[in-house]
Amino acid sequence: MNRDSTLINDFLNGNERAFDELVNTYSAKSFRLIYSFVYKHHDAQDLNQELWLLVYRNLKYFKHQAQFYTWLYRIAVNLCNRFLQKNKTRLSPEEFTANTTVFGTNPDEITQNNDTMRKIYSAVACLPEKQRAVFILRNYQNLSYEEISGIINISVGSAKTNHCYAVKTLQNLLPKDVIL
Amino acid sequence: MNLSKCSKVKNLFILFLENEINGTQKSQIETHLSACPACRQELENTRKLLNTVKTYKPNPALNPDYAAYLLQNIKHAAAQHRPSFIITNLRPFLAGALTCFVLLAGTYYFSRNSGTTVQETAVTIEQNLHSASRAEFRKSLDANFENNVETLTFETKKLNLAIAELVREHNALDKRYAKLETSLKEKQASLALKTHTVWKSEHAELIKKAREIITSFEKLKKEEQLMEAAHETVSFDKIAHDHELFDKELTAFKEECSTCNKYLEMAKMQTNIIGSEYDRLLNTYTQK
Repeated sequence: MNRDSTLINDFLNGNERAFDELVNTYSAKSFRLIYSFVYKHHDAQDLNQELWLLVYRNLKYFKHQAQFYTWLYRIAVNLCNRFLQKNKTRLSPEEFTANTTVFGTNPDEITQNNDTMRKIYSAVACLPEKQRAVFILRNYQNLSYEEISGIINISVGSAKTNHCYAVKTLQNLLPKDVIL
Repeated sequence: MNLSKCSKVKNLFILFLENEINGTQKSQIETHLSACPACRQELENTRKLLNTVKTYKPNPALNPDYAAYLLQNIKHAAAQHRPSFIITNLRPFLAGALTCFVLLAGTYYFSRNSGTTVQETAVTIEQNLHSASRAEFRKSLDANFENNVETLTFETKKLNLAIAELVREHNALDKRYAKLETSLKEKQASLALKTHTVWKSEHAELIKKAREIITSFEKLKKEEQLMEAAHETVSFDKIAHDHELFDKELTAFKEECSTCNKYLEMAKMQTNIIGSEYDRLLNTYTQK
């Protein structure tokens, strides 16, 4: 039995500290995943809290057939998709600047990088739900196609097709000057 | 430049860059690339795109105390929704009280309803006297509704066509699959064939969903006809309310229809990729 399964069993047997341990291990990762869908600090924090509240209440239903993080990410992706269906408004450039940590050594570089990030985000946001999820999990979370197929509940072949399709769409959506 | 070969190779570029394809396919792509400058350029563009996307990965700053803050919030929220002592212990009593309330409210509602039937009938007669304004009112609502129904009828026809096309492609693939299965027993073929049932069940699920949408839409259209007949006599508020409900349902249908169409398109693309893989295998083994 791996560490996560032991922690889950401990929590279900009344040890609250085991749950704290799970939060300490995975909350930052789940926050980053959610952030790469919504790009707003405040919304990502709210969704992450909703996610962990769901986990707290439903951990008893977790069947140890898959890894805990697969289950956690699946709920996170579903929450993000539901959130994005309800809130279809895109981030304005000003909002984007206020919400994002942009790298760069001088103001010009920071402005340019910020602009590039905004264009990439806008293009990724235009992708269909499944393609967007596969693209984010593959490129931003560096997960394997097997892990992605477990999270989104599709076959490995379908995960690959969705990724190929997403990259093709992005090639058409992104302006040429954005690509390094 | 062999266009058909180029398009097949291009479909595999991402998997090629990620080293997710088998040795034979890899060497075939490499051979093609050495002879095709256009594909070399395209591969370079794809590589650059993936690099750019990874370089500009979203990287939100996070407070070091974030986990502690989150835990505090979760436990606070969980405690707030926990049932109180009174509710837990008085649950049987509350259930009894609630049943009594429902029964009393029901009795009151029905007695009130039977008392106002005459009044309502009077309103209906008065509204029927103004049949011209009723007709106009209904016409104004129906125009938008009919427009929506027309669009959806077209969309569902498109779905039907897409399903038929996919099923045709499936049948053609099944034949190739059967050929491969009986004549080829080597490792490479069995690997490719292993996924046949997986994607077929995925596509079957998709087709089932599309058919469900079409059936539900047909059912909705019938309900709408019944509703229209009933609108000859009911109140204006009821007509407006019914139309609002139907509009909502139609909007939901439109979204479902367009998503389903997109997925059917993807399924077709996947079928094409698989078909070309089967063709390649069949060619290889026929030559052998």
